[in-house]
Amino acid sequence: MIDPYVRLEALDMRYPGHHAVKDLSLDIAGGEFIALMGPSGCGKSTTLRMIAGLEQPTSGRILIGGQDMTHVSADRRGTPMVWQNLALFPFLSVEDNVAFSLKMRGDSPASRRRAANEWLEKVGLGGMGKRHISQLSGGQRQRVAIARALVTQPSILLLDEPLSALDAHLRVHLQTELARLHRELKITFIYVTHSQSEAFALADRVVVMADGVIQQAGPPRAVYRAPVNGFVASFMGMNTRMDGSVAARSDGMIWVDCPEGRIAVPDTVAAGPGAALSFVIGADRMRLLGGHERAPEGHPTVAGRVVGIEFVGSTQTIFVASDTGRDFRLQRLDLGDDAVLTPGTPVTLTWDPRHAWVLPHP
Amino acid sequence: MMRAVIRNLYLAALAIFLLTPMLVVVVFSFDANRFPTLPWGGFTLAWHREALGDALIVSAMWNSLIVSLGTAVLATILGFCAAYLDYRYRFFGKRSLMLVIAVPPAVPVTILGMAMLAALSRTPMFGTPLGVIVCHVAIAVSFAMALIRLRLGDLGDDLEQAAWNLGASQRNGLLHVVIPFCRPSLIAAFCLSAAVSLDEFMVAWFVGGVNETLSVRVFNLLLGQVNPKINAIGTLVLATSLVLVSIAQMSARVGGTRKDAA
Repeated sequence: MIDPYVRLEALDMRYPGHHAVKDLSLDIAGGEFIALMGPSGCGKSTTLRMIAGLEQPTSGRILIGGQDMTHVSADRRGTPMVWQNLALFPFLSVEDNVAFSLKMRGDSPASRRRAANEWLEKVGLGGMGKRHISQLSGGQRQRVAIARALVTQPSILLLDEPLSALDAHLRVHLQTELARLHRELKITFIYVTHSQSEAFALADRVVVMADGVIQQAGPPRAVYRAPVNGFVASFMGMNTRMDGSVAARSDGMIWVDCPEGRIAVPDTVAAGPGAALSFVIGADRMRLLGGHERAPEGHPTVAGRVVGIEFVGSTQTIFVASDTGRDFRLQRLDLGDDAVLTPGTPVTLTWDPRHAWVLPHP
Repeated sequence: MMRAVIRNLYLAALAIFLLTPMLVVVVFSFDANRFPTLPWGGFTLAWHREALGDALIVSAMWNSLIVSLGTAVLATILGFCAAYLDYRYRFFGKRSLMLVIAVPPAVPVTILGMAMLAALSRTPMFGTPLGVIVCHVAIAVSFAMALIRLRLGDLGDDLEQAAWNLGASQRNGLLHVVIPFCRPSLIAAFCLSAAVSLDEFMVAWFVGGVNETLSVRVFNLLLGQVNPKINAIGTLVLATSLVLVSIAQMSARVGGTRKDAA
């Protein structure tokens, strides 16, 4: 990456009895849409609040646009944030909420009003400036919060789980809206979320965090298909993890001895015979074998029984317990044949061994 | 059905029990009889007119006005500062400080009056309206702080931080976010402090010297003779207090219903 716009250097945040962020370094390019994700308590919100200047890191540096901002107070950073609970000012009108930062900056009342209404127009709330916050719906309030943060035309927008308080329908709608704003404004968006679907849908790059440490950073597809460790693999969710020990190497494949038998995986790591090895297979890479169908040469097969089916609209997820006691997941287009796959039905799973992904770090 | 009747009867009885003494004062202040006796001697405004014509009573009214306004202003400011201190900061001795602020209303007023007399008699404030104000503030500030602290509890951490995040300095955040948010409770605290000061007698009597407040004037009138003017003053004081307390209650309620607006 050339010329990062935001640079976090060895950030450390310690609270009494809690080490929230550990030696975190991250470069974010100008105009990038980056998503920090992870389970609650992983340090993603603390990292965002440190960028905004609302928390003072115990050690490390924060550079924005080449300037050291570590000790600059929050009101001088120009890093507006959209809050999880919105934090709109209930005693101000919609217009005055949006114009707040302009007022703090000392703009004249006339230019404040003009800019605020321009932004309300842009987020689809034209003509609502005089309303009271309590008269708005949840989605409208969310738009006010976004307009309020963007009215000063910042070069960075911070978003702290901005959609988590909305219902599913609105969430998808505002997600599209945010993507459009990012395209049009071309500024840096730093987005904190625990939702994988939001992060994948919006971000150029996702950063998976756990225990105050970055586990993996990269484009959504890379993180999804090639998790670096067991944590990221299980956080991505839609896959099955298998463990075994290395038996042999041949033709660019490693043969792994698992309870399910000897299974081939791509040879992407240096591991000697006998070494423990873990790999994952994406749920959408799994396939059920038909009644008398035989798996292609070299493709592993695992016998088990259906545990349950989850219907997710156009796709379905089938949960299978293998005879060895491992839980497998299979995702496929909804074929409408649920009737034959009642719980307890014996099935055989198979996959292309080239689609297995060996975890570099278990 | 039966239940509702019993409940309403009970509430009516309670209201009568609470209101009768005050109602007696109001009714007889308009009674043409010189002494409060039945039957009713006819409607008159003579006692009100006489009370308002009495130079001592008028000067006591001015004193009361100055003292209660001064008390209300100071108690509201100090009450806000104390409440914000408690809300925002953590420091050694905070609990003790908050206890000290809360304690005066719980001390018997005679003891409070004596103590304040002893303390003030060594200062030039003794016997001045300012002296009475200072003592009344000590009592009223605990009510003011309690009201404002309650409201600050609804503010949460995010609003003030959002203000900083949007470019407000600490001072501007306080001025443009915290204080406007607390406005209903500030109005309530102001009115309640004024009412507390207006109605307070013992301390004003101890430290006021020749600067009689209205309640002290009433007491001194009573020492002389029973005079229907007292009923007239009582009616005026009662009306003022009612207005102040009503505003305080309404403001506090506005604060309560708006908190979920964010």
